[in-house]
Amino acid sequence: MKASDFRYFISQALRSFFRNGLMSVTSIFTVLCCMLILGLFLVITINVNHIANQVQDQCQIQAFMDEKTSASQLSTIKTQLEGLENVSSAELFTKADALEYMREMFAENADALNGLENDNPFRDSYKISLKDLSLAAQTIEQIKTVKGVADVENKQPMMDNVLSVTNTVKHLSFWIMLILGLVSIFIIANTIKLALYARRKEINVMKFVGATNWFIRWPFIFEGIIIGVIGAVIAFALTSWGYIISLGYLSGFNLDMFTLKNYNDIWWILLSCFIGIGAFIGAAGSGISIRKHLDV
Amino acid sequence: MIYFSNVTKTYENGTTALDNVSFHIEKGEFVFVVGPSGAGKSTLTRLLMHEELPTSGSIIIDGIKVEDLRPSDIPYLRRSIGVVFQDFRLLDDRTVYENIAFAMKVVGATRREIRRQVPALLSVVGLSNKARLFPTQLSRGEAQRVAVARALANNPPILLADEPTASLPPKMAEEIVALLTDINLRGTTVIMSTHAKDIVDMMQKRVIAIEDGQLVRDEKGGYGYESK
Repeated sequence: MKASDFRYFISQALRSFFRNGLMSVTSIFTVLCCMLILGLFLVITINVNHIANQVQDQCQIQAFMDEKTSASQLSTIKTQLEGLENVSSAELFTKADALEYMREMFAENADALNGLENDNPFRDSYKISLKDLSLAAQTIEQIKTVKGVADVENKQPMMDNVLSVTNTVKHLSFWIMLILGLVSIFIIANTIKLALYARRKEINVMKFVGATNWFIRWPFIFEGIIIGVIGAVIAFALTSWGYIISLGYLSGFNLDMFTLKNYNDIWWILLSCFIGIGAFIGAAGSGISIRKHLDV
Repeated sequence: MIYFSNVTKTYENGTTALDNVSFHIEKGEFVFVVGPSGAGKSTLTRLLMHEELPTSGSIIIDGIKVEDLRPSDIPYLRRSIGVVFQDFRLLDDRTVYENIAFAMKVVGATRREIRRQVPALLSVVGLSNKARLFPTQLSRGEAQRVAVARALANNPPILLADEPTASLPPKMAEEIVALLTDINLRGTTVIMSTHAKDIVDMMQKRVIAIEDGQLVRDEKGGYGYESK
């Protein structure tokens, strides 16, 4: 496409956009509404993933060692554990740590644990973080085969719950985004149909003087993209504003368990997704209308 | 330059608009296509413009077999044929200059080419002083002159005029025919379908007469319908 043609297509698209002012604004508003809901689910999906990662980090497997495991063997076991494919880290939790932890748990009744320092009944263990929770069952079996490991605490039910919630939210978001995307495409297709009708005389002239099919189509494609992108940019601004407000509101609560993504970490993901989806929706809507109503 | 060989066009509703029509038009000819309404003249125009394809037979324009053209090549065929319609088909929201420039722009002409060609065309059709007017500010004769200038914008070797004088008063109609004759003298092949008996009789050019889809006469002379 020549630069002069590109300028011409854009100018024609803008001309048509303003000529069909009311319909263009209506389309932008529809795209905006769809993109806002779409953006809400995008933000939810990003944060559910983020929270799932945090929960995943907290869902550690605890592998207890044999009573007679020496300090040098502990070091070898750590190396073996961290060598497993699905293990991201293995952190030593000594019997002394376990006793201290119990003291904290017992609080004012901690005196009951006095005297156990010399005859500590707890075992050394490793707290193991996994890379992928869905593979926990296989990894536990692998950990059990490591020499020196006596038992592995199984947190599978909890892990399964976390995965189930994450997957449900992801699937729900996907389908809602898909449906809203299709609604937006339909609305833009209708706007372009009106634009085609308004410019039918011009299209007829272009046809009989020998304009190529794509020369006739491009301005309508650009018009759809302009509508989609304007709707997307406004939706991005509103979503960003809403997200920043929400972060400020939530920071008032003391949420130790998990944190939400910082706006600075996600704005570019949001912006590129919004513009990409907006442009795609616009082009797809135009494409459908052109295919159906433009006989070149 | 244009060959129609045993061309038949039957529409989906069963109407046969052209029935086994054959003729040949040489480069630089001026040809009238005459016949009553519904005789098949418009179908002939649509076939030339590749808006329709023949049901059988073959059409060759400038060495190109029209029915074998790929869809992407159709625009290039249309660039070799300038068209003038009875209803002018000018864009009312653009000036005279812009209407002609538009026809050049959409086939990829540069600004420089447009700046050179449009005034020259306006001069040919005698409207140099009307470049900035809008079509609604022109007389019907002037509007048709603009349509002729637009049809010539991309220097087509063929000019197809579909009833160009039908909506014009006699004096303006004569001016348009004089303009087409002038264009023909510059080397452009002109094919004009018309009901205007006076004009055809006056011009004494080649006449292709179509009736009920069939070619009934192809000779130099007048309109020729009083005798039938």
